[in-house]
Amino acid sequence: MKENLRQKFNDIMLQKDGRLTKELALESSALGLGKLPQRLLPDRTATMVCGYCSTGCSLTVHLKNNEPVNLTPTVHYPVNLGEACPKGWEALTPLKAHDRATTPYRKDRSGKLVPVDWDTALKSFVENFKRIQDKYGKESVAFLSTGQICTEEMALLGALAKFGMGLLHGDGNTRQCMATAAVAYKHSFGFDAPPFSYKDLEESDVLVFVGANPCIAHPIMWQRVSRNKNNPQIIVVDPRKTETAMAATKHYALLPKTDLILFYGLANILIERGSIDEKYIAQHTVDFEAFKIHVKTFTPESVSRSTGLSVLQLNEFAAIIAAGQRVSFWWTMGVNQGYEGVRTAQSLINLALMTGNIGRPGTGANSITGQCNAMGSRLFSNTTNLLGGHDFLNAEHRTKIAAILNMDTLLIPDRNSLAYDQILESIPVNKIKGLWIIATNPSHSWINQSEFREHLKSLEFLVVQDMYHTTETAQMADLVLPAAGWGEKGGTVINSERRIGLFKKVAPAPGAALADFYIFKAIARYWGCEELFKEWSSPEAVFQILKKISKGTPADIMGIKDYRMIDNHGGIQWPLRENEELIETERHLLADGVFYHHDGKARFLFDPIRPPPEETDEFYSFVLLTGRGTSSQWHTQTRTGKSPVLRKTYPQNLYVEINPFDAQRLKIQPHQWVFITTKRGRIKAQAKIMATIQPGQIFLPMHYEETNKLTFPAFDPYSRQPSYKLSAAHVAKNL
Amino acid sequence: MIKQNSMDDFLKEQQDLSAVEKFSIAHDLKQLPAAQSLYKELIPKTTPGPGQQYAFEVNLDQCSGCKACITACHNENGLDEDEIWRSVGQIHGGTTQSPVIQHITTACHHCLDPACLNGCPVNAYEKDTATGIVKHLDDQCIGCQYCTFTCAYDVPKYHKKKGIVHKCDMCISRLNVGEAPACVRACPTAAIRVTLVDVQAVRNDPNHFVQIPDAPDSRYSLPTTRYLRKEKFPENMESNDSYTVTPEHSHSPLIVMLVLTQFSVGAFGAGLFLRHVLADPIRVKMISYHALMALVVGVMALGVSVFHLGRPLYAFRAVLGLRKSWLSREIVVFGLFAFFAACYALTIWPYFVERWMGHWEKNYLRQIQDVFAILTSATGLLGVLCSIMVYQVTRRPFWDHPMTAIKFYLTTAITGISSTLLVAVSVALSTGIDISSLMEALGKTGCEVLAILTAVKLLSEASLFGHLQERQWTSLKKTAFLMKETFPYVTFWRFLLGTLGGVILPLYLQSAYASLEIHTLIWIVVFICLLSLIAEFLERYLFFRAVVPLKMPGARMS
Repeated sequence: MKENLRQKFNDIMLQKDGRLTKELALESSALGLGKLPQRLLPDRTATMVCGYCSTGCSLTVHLKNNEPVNLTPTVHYPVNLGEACPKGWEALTPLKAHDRATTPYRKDRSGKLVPVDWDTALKSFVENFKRIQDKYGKESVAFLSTGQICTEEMALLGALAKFGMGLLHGDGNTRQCMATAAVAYKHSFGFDAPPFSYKDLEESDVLVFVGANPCIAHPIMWQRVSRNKNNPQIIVVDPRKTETAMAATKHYALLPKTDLILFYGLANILIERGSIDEKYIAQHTVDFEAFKIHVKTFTPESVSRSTGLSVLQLNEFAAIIAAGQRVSFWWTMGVNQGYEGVRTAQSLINLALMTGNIGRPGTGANSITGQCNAMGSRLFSNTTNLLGGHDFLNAEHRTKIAAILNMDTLLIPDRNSLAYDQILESIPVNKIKGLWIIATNPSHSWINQSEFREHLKSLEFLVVQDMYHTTETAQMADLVLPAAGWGEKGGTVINSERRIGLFKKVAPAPGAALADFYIFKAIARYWGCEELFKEWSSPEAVFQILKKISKGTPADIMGIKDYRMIDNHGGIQWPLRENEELIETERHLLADGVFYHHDGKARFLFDPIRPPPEETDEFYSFVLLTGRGTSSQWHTQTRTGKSPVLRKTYPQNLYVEINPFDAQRLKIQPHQWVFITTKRGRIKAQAKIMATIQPGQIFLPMHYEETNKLTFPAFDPYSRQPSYKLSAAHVAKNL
Repeated sequence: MIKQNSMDDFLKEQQDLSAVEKFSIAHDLKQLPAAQSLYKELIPKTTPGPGQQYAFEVNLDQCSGCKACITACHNENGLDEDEIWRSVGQIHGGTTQSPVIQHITTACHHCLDPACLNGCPVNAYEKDTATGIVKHLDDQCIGCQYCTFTCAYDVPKYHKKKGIVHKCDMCISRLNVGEAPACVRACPTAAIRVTLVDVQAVRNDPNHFVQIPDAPDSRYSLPTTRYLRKEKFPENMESNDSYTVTPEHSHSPLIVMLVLTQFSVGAFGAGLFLRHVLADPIRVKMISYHALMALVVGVMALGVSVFHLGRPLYAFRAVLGLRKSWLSREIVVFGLFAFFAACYALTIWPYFVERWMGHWEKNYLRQIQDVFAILTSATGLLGVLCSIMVYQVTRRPFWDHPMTAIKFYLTTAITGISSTLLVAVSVALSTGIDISSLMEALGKTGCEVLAILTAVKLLSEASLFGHLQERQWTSLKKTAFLMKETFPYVTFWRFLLGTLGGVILPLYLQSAYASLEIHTLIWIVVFICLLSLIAEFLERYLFFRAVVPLKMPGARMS
């Protein structure tokens, strides 16, 4: 008794266990997941591909009573090998955000978005768009799609819009990230075929990263680099000393947008020193002689003057490439978002071709993609290309697709769509009066934001389809359609290395939100063209249609039986032809050296250098660069901004990186608010004084709404991709 | 034509989750953690031997700054929505030719001499003997948050809803079964690992651990995390938040508690003085009302302090930490102070004296009163010393400064004198004693002393603004900056009211009391007391809000 009391007293005085301790106690999950929080112990799991970037990591979602409660990155998946970046770890959080669109909204007379039911919303959709089409012609309604939804949804959207609703013009936000790479491959190789697998990152002995910061933008690809056992040379070409540049063995901080000059110069040095693979060039390429003459004028001295790199550095760079047995070239937005982006990407392709660094393990000219399904969009969005990489202008292609889809060939347009920027330019001249924007937030992300918003204002009807009714774009809409998000729908996406992975539905969507797939189906019904899509009954049924479309193309996936097969194999890369056995889980292309042009040969493509579209002057004396801030921020932050944990990992205010010399000259104190002005606008940002940015340059992260008020609207002439990486800016402490 | 309810099929399909069944996996119940292959090289093969403990080791050359560790820790430990136990800071420097940026991932350093543990008044921290991991006992915690002050690495985090602190335990229950902590498991580049360190090595060369520019001095608590980097950092590295100045929480119950305990102690001190200089019959009245006032304020102060606790019901546990925690000592000593103060007030209150102690010998009674009076003042002064130590041991430069002692003791004196003036004048008024002669005898000196002490206090506080001239953004410069830029009004009023109530009015009263009307005089005394008190509250508000905590570099985002 006494003992008992004493024990009780001790427990009250010093309590080592109890309710609060148990709340955080871990318990063995017995699901191969190790210990997990007791209250979040799952009873089942479902693996699915992440819905943020193109790396295409697999996440194992923990389910408890059929509800997703937590997740961990999938260990046995060839892409991420058990790891994920913070966005992936936090992927479930944005689904629960309080500002999810749970019902359609329509703008009332006072200009406020008010909830309406689906019937009202879709009748309004059809009425308004048909009215505009009657008044201004069928082509006066256009759509802007995305790299964030499933391939099946993109295909349905493209088919519905172009074959069902009679639209001609449609593009996607992939124009902002991947158009350059797609065009570069298409013209050089004959098909948009990024030839690599991530395994190449582990197998190279020289890796060249151009305008890419995988440490921050693609941490899981960087994971593969960190596992490279060849003690590789890692070269980073970037004006800024990024995290990746820090981790590199060589960093070449060239002047902004002198990359094309640099790579022509490198080609010249390699030719001069005879470090080229003449046999490969002769057997597998054409136009090398013309290229040789073209680059002859890019002497080390002139290249040094233009790029700011020394002749020594140029020779060193060339020597490293020449000495490499397996050299791979990797690029992303620094190249793609340039006014000469296509030629720059092709200058890297040219380097790979002329040194024979292609088609072998650890080699290649490799474009790292942006969004989770940018690659799906490139193949199946039915915007720039006819479904499956076909050509709208080609009658044979039109007939083929119409036959597969059981449609009248005449429904398929025989003209190409305008590109994104051209669609926007058509608004003020009354050529486009209705616009339908799906799963993208261009009021934040499009270049020269103020002009973009002006354009939207002069539309007669704007429909925005999104998970949130609060995005900058949705707030401008006449009609908002509430979409289900990642985790609330099924379908496939294609990652950077051509791997088709699965999205799965593990949670019901909130309220009346619907998967984009069902929204498109419902629109078909209300538009009166449901019959056309009766075979498109479910995402998996559409997948079977897409397979047939792919047959015989370089991206042939007839060998993929169904979703189950994709799930069982940890994703499957295209191509996989009918009856082809899937042996390797990580495959690269072009091992046979046969390219996709009719003659099987790759092209050397090149152009003279053009001056930058906006040059600095005495007043606008800074070159403004933009790009990713941290790995926990995604694009316009519509999703990552919803996670309180992620919000703790990056500055809440817009900041501008500026070199200490410039800061001293302008008497700018650290952390001080400064004004940044371009000919498009003026914004405020907090000064972050860092030697990692060169004098005369400033850097703004793209995740803050203000940034694109400043950017200069220049476009690559081949890909029409906006050039976000070069504007002339003025920086001042006071106005 | 569109049928009625024509959206029903889509809405129904959207809510249908049967596909989850189809594509989910119910696992083999005996399955080992699949992630083991990721981390088996990253945790020790054996448990710590004698003289060893577990420690984090971070390979900075591998850390790419992706911050997956933060989110993995959050998810794998089932933390609340916005709760994080690990953070990643950024430091940068070097030259334009050779710039450097480095991300620093940091969690608990599982110190040999943990400041959280040493500060905890209720022994809610344990240094695990087998592993060396510093564990927080959630159910023992009373939510006083003192560990969030004492930890130099900003590790313990207060969880408001639960009213307790949480912190990293190196996933001890995972380590115990051969699994890796969440952060180790989740690092894509294997930059974080758990190693065994020799305790003696940490003691011999503390600065070898958490050796990062801008990090707090490792000799303070002997952290065990090692940060490896091939190249040395350049001299000029600074952290991402070197220039961010963010106010801290105001901890308002602590403001009230500190000012009012000091008020009460000061009043009892002045009472002790009154006891000896005054003569009966006014003496009894004066000292008994005065003691009552001081007691009420003191008890109120201690009462309010309980509101600072997340779990006030368990406040009694605060006696446990007496051996090492200044907070525990503060609580116990002020508890004694309150007890003696009550005893004193009781033994001098005329009613009780007459009723129960009337038959006692006068001298004997007086001796008892003296003993209680002295004990009250002594424990009071000791309590204020404990308060000072509570803040000094945090090593935060604004608190770990002679100024804290000056402030706390001068607050004691200023509020003590000004309140005594008020009581004296009111008692005099109610008993019809000649106020002029009272002023002559006591008030004049009181006013002079008050004016001098207040002036000294204001000047010493104002000297802080000298740090604004420094080129480096030192901690004290940031504090001065916060006062000047973030709290300009509070700072302004603190100095204005302090000067008015503590210097100008007392000096005026001292020189002009003879010619003043009685009501004016009383109003002036009321204002002296009130304004001084408000000014002291404002001073203490700034004491909490303008302090700059110690932390790992760059770990706090603005």
